[in-house]
Amino acid sequence: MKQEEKEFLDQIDLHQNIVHKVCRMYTNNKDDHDDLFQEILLQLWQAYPRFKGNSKLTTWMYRVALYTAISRNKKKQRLVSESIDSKAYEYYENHDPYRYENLRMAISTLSETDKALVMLYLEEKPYKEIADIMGLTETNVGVRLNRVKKKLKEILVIR
Amino acid sequence: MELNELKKTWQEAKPVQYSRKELDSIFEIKTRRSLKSINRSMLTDAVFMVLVTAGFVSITFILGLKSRYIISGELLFIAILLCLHYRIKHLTLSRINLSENNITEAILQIIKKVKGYLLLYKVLTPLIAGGLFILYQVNTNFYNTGIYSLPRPAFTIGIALSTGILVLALTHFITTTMYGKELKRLKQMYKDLAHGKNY
Repeated sequence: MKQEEKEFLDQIDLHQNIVHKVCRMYTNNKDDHDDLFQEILLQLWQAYPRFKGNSKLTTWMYRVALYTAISRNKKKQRLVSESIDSKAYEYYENHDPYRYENLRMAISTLSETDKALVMLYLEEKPYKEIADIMGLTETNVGVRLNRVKKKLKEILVIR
Repeated sequence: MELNELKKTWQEAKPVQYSRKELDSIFEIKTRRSLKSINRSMLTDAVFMVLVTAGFVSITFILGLKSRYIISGELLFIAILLCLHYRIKHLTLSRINLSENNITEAILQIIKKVKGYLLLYKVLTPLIAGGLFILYQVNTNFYNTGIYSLPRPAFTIGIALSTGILVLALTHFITTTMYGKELKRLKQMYKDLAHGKNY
């Protein structure tokens, strides 16, 4: 294995939770998760030589991973919405399966870009970083998150 | 239940983690294989375009048009189309610069560049096609009369203009078929992200 490949894989190994979290947000079962992980890894590897360190490595990884997930899901939108099943929380085992099911159900109603916002919010990223990753102003992030929160609240209250 | 309450649920979800061995294996088998497949597909396109170019040159020779201007013009025509096609494929496939740009900016840049290249397609293709037709007429006249001029200027220019318009319509149809879907997808993504910004 070449030195550059080794360095790249070291970084991925260190921050693979970022890619997994994006996969978790955008997929509903293990097969889709693995597929998306591989696709993101390919995009990261293709973009790696152009990464100049202008932003944090993790910010860059979020950008590439989210862009890949958003554009991939656009192509497979119908397939994904059909594949929401009970395997979702079997794979992502949780202390509170009922709550987790609620979370996934609510998230599945969001647009692809809103999913990205919610994921970064759930990860407790500051608005500034969310804005930097997505390309929105901090105010816009706040406004859109409030809108999403309101929408999710309506859905979750019904549950 | 609100989104804030679900933060804990999200963070408590069992983390999925690949071992280093698994990661190396995914990279070796999937990443490398996919890249090979992408490169193979680009190579197939290149071979196809080279064959088309060779076909053009052969036709010119078969027809007995030995003028180097015509041949050069045709080659230039193909080369420009080839460059534009590759540039668009390259841009939409793997040149999304997310190191210096955020997601919204990166998408906007791709949209602008693809639109620019499509405009080039639409300007250059009819111009070159019309130009080649005029060159062809001048050459034919030269072989018949020994004079480098248009035999019936108004008629020839009229036909050249019609050829240009026809080629423009054809180019529009082909580019829309080839890149329209991808461009539409990028525009929709940008619209979703920027919410109300115009492009």
